[in-house]
Amino acid sequence: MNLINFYKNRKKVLGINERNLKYIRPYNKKRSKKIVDDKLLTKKVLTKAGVPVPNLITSISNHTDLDNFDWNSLPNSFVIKPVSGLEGGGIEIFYNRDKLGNWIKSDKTKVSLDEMKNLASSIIDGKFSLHNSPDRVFFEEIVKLHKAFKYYAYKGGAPDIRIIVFNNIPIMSYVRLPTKQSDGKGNLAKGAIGAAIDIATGITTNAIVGKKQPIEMVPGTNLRLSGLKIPYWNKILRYAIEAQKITELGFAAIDFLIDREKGPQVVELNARPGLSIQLANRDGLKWRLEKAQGIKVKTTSQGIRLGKDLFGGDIEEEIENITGKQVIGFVEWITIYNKDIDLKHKDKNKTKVKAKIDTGALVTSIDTELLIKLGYESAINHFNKFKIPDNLTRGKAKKLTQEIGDKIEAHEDIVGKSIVHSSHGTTIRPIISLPVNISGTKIDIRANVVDRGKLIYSVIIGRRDLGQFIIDPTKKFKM
Amino acid sequence: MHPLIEYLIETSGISEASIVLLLMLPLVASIVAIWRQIIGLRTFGIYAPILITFAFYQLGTTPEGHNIIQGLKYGIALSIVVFVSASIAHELTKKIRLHYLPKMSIVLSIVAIGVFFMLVVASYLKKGGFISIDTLSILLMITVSEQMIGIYIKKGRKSAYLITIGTLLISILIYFLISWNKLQEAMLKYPYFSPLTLILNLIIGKWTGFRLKEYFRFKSILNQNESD
Repeated sequence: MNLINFYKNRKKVLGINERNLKYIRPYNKKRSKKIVDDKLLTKKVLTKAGVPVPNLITSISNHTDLDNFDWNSLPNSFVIKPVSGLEGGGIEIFYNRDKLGNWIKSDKTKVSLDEMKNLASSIIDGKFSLHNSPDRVFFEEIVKLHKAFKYYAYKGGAPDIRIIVFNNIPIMSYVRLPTKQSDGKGNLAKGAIGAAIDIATGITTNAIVGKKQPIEMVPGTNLRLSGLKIPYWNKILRYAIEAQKITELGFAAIDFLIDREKGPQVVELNARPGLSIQLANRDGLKWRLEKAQGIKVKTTSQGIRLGKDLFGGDIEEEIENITGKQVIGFVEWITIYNKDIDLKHKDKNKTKVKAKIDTGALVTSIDTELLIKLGYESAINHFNKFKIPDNLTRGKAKKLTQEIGDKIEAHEDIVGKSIVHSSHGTTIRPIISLPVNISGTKIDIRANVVDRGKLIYSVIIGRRDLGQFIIDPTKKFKM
Repeated sequence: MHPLIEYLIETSGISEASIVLLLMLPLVASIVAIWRQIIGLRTFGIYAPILITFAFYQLGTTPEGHNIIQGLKYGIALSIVVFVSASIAHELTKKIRLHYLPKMSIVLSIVAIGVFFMLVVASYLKKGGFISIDTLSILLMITVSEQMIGIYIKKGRKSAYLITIGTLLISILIYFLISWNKLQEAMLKYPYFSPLTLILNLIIGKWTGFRLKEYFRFKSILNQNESD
């Protein structure tokens, strides 16, 4: 069972060997790589095609130009980058300049003119380029943080949105959020967060921090990482496809920043997309690449539509991501843990039953026999000692509850009692609290104990225990 | 011994060690390729592990024949001295922000000084073997330290250490293999076995399966249920 799943999942995921041999080699030609490995050339080519990029301020090509460079000609805020840098190395953002001429970074550290010259000079020496080959420096305007990311971005570090495009179809996406650990950089290996984005809606879903650790909230807050709507989503998909078309980079990762006023801007194209995006998306690239392959995509709009239809999440997932609540059907398999769970033999000590999700009932009910099987026999015996008849009147039941209520609750497993009305009268039933797992969410239910032996469902889940769920009556029950 | 090899050694006077090393090279390179491509562990390129392996081999070569323990002992000692002094040199120069090449030159100089002191200490302690240590091996090891510092700068300390350890591990593994008498004899007897590794490499070169490491990396996706 598990092995079959494993095998099926293996067929979905892209590994490095396959990425290099089947996708990068045949689809990313030398000519295209030359464009995208040179950020200045990328800027030029994209601008020509009408794809927005951050404005270039100026560039320095060699040491002589660096010596003659007039640093006062730069505006107070700018980004310095190597033209052929790898993995964000050598990129620094400066927000202001103080009276002494020091530039100020987002974390308030200051960089003197000498240090700045040193940085520029080590970039030219090739410190951040592939194989340490000589490089150039360029300066571009900073991208102002979009309001949507205000509470998601650590100290003004800019969230960076990546779209993987193949055959003019966007196939997978995530946004990288800088954290304290990542030093304000969007590098997952350094501890940034990667939150998957649903291609259909542009809303974040699952997230990881570092290279694989799952994470739910923005660190230090109660803000969910899922459910963030990326602004300008359709425009981003459009520009991503257009950037692929113009550079002819077949298997491309296109990285965007979103400016508060100017909207999405392409910061770079990557000819060797990393594979961690699969972990953030909890899904593989391989099956998506195979699906997108060979489709004739005539227009950009068609590419967007195909991406959304083929690789977008379903609505249910979307609701779960926005509300943080699980969508469940009318009938669900639930797992009930035995009393005194023995952690070593977890599998043996739980029971899977079909439960009716009943919004018409307030309190959850569980069958007496099932409860005995789960190890609550002593609680049932304790309750039966009171020999409460099941044909009481309402008034009598109420009175009886007041009289012997405390005695009933004297047993450690019994957390309350409830008055139950049925066709042949009213009776009192004990309430027991027990841990269950409904569709992956673990909760403690408070169930009254009734003989449900003749009924289809041995458990019905009532409103009081459904706070964490949304019920979709059309959802199909899986045997 | 194969007649051709016998002719080269007996008649032409080429050293047996040279022939063995030449015939072993394709095998050594193939193992590094498997280590990286199929298992997925990282090394400093394909070149560094080969250099380190041969440095170890040189260190184990004595006038009386090959001494595998001596090679291992001196090799590990030399590696530690080289990599530790390279890291110290890097940490020292990090703060003052130098250009890449002068910085690397300083790093290599400090490594050379480190090895020099190792020799001083060895002669003081009267460790005879160390004094006759092979110059070529020292140079090989020092050059490898450049790649370590390159990774250090780009990927940080942790990656640099992990890759260094990985590189040393594979080098030592291969060193044991090439020092194995039976294998050496087999190579001299069947020299045409050596180019057969070409076929192996063609297969590895077309390999699109997961690297062993990726089964761990993507564990969370692979163990997922259909319904999740």
